[in-house]
Amino acid sequence: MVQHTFENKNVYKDFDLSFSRNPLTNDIGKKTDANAINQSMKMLLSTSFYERPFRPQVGSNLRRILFEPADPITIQDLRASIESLILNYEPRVQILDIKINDNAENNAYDLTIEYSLVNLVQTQTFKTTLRRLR
Amino acid sequence: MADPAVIANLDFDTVKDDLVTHFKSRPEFSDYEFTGSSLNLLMDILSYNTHYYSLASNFLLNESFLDSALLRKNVVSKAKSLNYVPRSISASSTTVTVTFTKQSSSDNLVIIPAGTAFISAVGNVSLTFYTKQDYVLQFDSLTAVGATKSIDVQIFEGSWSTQRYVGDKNYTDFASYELPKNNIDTSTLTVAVNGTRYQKILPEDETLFEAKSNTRCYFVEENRNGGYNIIFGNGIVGKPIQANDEILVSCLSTSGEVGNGVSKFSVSLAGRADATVTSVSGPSTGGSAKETIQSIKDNAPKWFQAQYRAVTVNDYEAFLKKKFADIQSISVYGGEDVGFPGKVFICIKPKSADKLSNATKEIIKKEVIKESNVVTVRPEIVDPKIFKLRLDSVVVYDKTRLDSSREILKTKVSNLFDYVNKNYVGTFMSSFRESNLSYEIKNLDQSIISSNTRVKMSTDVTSTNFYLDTYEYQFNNKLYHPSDGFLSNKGGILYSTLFYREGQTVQSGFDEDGYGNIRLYDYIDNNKVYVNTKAGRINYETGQVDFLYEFRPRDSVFTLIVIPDSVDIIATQDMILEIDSANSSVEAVEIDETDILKNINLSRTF
Repeated sequence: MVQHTFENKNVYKDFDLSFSRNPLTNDIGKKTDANAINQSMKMLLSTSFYERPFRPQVGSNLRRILFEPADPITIQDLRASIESLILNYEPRVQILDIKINDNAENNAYDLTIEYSLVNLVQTQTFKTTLRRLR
Repeated sequence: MADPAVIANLDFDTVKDDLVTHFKSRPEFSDYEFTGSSLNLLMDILSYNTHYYSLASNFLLNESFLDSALLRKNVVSKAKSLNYVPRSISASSTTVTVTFTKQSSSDNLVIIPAGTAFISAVGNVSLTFYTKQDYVLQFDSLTAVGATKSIDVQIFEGSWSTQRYVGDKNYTDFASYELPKNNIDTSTLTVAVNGTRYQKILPEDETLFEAKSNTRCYFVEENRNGGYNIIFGNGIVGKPIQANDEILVSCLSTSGEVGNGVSKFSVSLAGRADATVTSVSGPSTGGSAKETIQSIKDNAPKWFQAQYRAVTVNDYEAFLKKKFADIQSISVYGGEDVGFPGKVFICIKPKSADKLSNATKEIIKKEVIKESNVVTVRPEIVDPKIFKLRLDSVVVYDKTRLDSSREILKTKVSNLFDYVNKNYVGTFMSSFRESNLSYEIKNLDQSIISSNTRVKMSTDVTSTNFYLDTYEYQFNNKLYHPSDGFLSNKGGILYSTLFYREGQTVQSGFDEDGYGNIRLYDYIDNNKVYVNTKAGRINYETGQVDFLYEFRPRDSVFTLIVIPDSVDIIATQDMILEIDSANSSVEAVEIDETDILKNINLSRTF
């Protein structure tokens, strides 16, 4: 009888941008699969157009949208920008749903992105809060 | 581990590609190629860093050498280490004759002070020329009232300005003062400290070694802003500036080459309404922009090599280009090459005219060359011999590949003549090669299949008061002469434009008989009536034309045209060839127009 061994191999690997230290190996902390993707999406969302030298097209105009009146049109604008950003610069992700809730008490939007990774079947969730700083 | 394969790239994208190639061989991380990944961000930073350092290193190395530097301040700095001070902008000048009328018996002395203005204009631009020194004209006490007397005055284009500085401390090092304007002709600088005139020292001046601690001298340097600094001594070489010293610097700010070619002036002298400019020695010349970066790169090493001495022909060229700005092309050759040992011949084509004025030649000989050339060698400045080429081009084209029209094609070829003038001929010893022209015509338009150009040489015959300025014209090229008596009845291979002779009401001209004789004729009712059938000789082998008959032309200029043996024209040491676009022709023939092609004589037309 043939015995199959399935190795739980990480598909995506990245280092932790907080530069934390792994206490066992003393190496830089790593992030894998959904954690790596979440970190990547967070970085993309916080990048504005023209922020990266020589690559002006990378990023979005979320910061500008956050200063617009909090109404359904702005939310739609926000959703379109996020969708376009991920489609263009995060090819590892297939978006299932983007939920944006107006958190008026805190002058913020609660963002939830449900997605699946291209090579993995589980549904993943990315949550963050978008708030203007001033 | 694979090393980044390429380390010579400068662009951000290629540097990053090299890093990506490198990381593909690393197992630790797999997210290097995704835009949002941390590793990608890290690679961006590495790429920026590499990119900026590469460019900075590249610029640094380029600007460190005279040959590759691009910024003027760096080129000037490098030239400074070769003891070379780049030439400043130079003012155009000419000599005018000013005439005064004696007003009274006590009117014996007229002074034209330095700084007297002479007004002129070029187009819509008003120009002012000034005297650099005082001129004094004296009437004889016995001269009658109402008599006139003239004086020659040299004037320079620009505006005089005086700048005042005050020493702020007792200097023990070189005190430097920046002049406020960039368009200063440094040859016109006068510097006085506390009313005492100081002497300018250039690197090539041997007086530098004689400068003592109390020598009143100053140096001039171009600064990093393109302007000029006046630098005084440090107490070891040259007298230093002390606190409260008053420094007055006068200089001429000029428009450079804009002032060239002016020949009409008016003067207004206080208290002398009778002052009038009666004649001008010639159009103003000598105005030129400051030395270009390329010129500094070319001249500084030669100048260093020549060590401020004019010995070889290259030394003369470097020396004159440094000292005299108005040079379009220069050719220097030893007298031993042309049968005059002991002489050196200098042929200069100025930018502003066809030849130098006699006054300018004297200035060059006495003030520029004399101080540096070998004592036993006598410099001789000769005028360039300018020969114009009349081209007749036939272009064969394919209309199916022609985007425009036949006329536009002809205009393109005509415009090409000016390009050839600037890039192939127009300087000394630049011969005209028909194949070069054909190559340029072929590349002009995709529809052009072939071209053929026939060449004639022409030169202007000038005269003064009915006498020719020279009776010998050396074309320096073999002339077309397949057999004796060739085309005798049609006038041979030489002809001239028509001109009037003294006392004649009909025009005259020249042609030749095919046996080497030049014939003078009067042109009456569209017929040639020969006046003298041996008015001159033409040597078909050497291209020499001699006029033997005093035919006293009334017109000051007419044109002599000959047909050379070859379509390639050789330019010798004192010859400059120029394409005469106005008298050249272009014919465009379509490849299917076989009748026309058969009838066109593509080799020669007479």
